[in-house]
Amino acid sequence: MNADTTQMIVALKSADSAVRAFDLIIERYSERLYWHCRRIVVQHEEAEDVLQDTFVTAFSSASSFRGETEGSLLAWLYKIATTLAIKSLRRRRRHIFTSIDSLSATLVADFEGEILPDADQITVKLHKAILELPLKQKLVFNLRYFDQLSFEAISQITGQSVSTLKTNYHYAAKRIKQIVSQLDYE
Amino acid sequence: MSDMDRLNRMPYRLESGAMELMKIRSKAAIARKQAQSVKRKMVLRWALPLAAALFAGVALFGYVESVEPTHYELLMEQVADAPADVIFEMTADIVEYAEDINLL
Repeated sequence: MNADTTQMIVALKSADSAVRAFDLIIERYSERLYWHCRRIVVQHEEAEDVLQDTFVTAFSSASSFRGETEGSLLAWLYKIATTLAIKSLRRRRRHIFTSIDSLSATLVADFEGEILPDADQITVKLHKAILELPLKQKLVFNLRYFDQLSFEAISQITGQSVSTLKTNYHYAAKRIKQIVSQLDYE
Repeated sequence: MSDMDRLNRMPYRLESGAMELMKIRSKAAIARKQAQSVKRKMVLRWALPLAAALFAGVALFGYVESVEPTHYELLMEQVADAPADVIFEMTADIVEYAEDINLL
């Protein structure tokens, strides 16, 4: 970990320097956190709101952050972002007793309206397949495949055990293959 | 572009400059949060001592009122040692006003 990152972590825990530290955090981590949120909520405006709420929430609770490494900082930020993104999805349910997983069809429909005109078709199929997964499988797949986080880091983010995550990742990959094959036949 | 880069490129629509705009808005939100926090601390710094002083003042006033003799008590002290004709004069004045009977 370089000296800049160490100073940034020390600074964010102090009331006097937290604002400056968060300016650096926003510069460094906005892009990856944004795409993580967008892969969950799909719509740009919603992802932007979640991203902003993530930084404000992290700033408000900075004094409770105990980590000292960049890895722990990232896990903390991802945890806040994931919680807020799921909360945002919950608000879109018609009834409070409806499962978030039932939103899959809505998310795929939203995705149809958000696709880049010149997007690679294989990539589009991959993302459609991911959006059809149950939330737990979707999260572990995104964090492992796109964000390249270790299962230990994902465990800190999701609160699930490493073995459960590995199982979910395995099922996610298998299901994605099946869905992409079905999409190929359509 | 490698196969992996191709697969990892997000297929979502995003306007040019949107990422920079998001960073600016996030920084502004943090600055607003900081300003709110400073304002709250300043209000607490003055409000609590002021409230404490007000409470102490009310308590002191209540104590002083309970310790000092009332007008009636002062009057009774004078009456206790006064000769009968003086008492007659004093009570005659008081009874002139019907509502003052309650003082006797």
